[in-house]
Amino acid sequence: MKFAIYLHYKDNVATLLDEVCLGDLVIVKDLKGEDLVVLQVEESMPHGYKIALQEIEAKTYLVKYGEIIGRANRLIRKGSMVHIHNLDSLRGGFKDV
Amino acid sequence: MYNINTQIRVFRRANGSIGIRNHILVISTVACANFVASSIAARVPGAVACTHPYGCDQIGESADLTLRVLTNIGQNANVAAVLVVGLGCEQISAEYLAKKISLSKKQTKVVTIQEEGGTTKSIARGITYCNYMKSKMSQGRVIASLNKLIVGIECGGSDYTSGIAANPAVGAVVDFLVSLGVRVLFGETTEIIGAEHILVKRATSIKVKKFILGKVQKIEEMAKKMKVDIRGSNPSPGNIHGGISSIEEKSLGAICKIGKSLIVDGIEFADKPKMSGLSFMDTPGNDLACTCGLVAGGANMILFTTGRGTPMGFSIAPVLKITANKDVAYKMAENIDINLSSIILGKMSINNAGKIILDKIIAVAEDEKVKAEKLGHQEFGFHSIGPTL
Repeated sequence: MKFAIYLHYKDNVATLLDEVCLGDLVIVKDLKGEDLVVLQVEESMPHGYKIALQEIEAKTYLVKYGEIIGRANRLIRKGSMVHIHNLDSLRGGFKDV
Repeated sequence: MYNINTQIRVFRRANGSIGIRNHILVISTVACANFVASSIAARVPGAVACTHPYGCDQIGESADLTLRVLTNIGQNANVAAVLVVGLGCEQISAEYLAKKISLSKKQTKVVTIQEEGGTTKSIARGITYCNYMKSKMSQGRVIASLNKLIVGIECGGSDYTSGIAANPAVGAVVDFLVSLGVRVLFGETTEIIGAEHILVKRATSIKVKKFILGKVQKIEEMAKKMKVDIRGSNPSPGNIHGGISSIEEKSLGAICKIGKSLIVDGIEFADKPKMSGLSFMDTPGNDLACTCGLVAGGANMILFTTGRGTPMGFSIAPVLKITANKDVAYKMAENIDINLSSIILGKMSINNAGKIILDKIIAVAEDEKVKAEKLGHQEFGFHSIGPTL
């Protein structure tokens, strides 16, 4: 079985603990290994990458650790990868995003 | 298992501080003295050289920073005796640096290359001085309270495992050490951007809160002024490859390593903590510069979490490598002291991981060598905050 973990109940992304291929079913669990949900991944990804736990509209905050880690720059479908291509950092830039 | 009464075997210095190593430090005041300093250290067993490209042609804050780093590195309690090697015409005079270091009541000697008459004579004189100081220095360990230790914490080469496992495990250790009254230092100002709102809630005074916010603001303003995007360097390509997508995400993972402890003070780079408990030091995110700042601040050892793996050690303090990435633990086994990948696999709790780290801290404090020491790593380096003229 393949697993992903989410760190806070507010999170809309989870971190993959295993490498996945398009169409794989992933068990998403919390830190205690409880509260399981099953999710189908929309693309192949290495372990450690993030997947969307729900459909995320463009301009919506991306949340991990219960905190904002950036903003979606496009619609992100449930089960697809969340990374630098669709997540804009809100900090440390010289232009406002 | 460990408590307020726990004692460890360490070196006690004349000023009351405790060291966990007994180094003779050969320190250069300026780049022109680096070769002589390294040559002396290479010929004296137990000696280590700290060389750098600064010490001359620096002004203002930059010159102050160099002097403060070299002084406080020399004063670190892991160092038993110091030989200062200078050229003779540089800004930071060797005599002055040695005098400042000796305020910590340790032995110091000076070799000035222009006075000795060149490389060969200076090396010979330096070796004689080191051997003399070695014959005078205390070689035995004594019992001291665990809470006399100063511990630095740092993360480098982070990936997704850092924020989930290795940093929370170190955080549990920090919470425990702080409860005993140990002085714990953390830095990496760049890597609190996006997480500072959490840190300021833990600040014990308005002063500390303002210090943290001010330092973060300074970095972001600098980026804006230079029309650069810190996102070009942080998260680094390796962080991104390891699953980290933004500086906010990296920072939120990084601050897990301070646990839930309150932040009692904010101090400048390379300054010494004045209070027991957890202090924040303004340092670059750069691993070597941060380590140098924490050790200059008095840290006896560094707990260093990594996801991508890094071999870096430090000249006068053990750098203990902790990873929760199973591939790195396997591939870079010779560099990794503690493998916590079982946490990711759901087979180890954060608290158990904390106990493993604590056992290792005690063993390393009492002379067990970390991997970086066994491999001979003796890095030293820091940054300049202004131009070299």
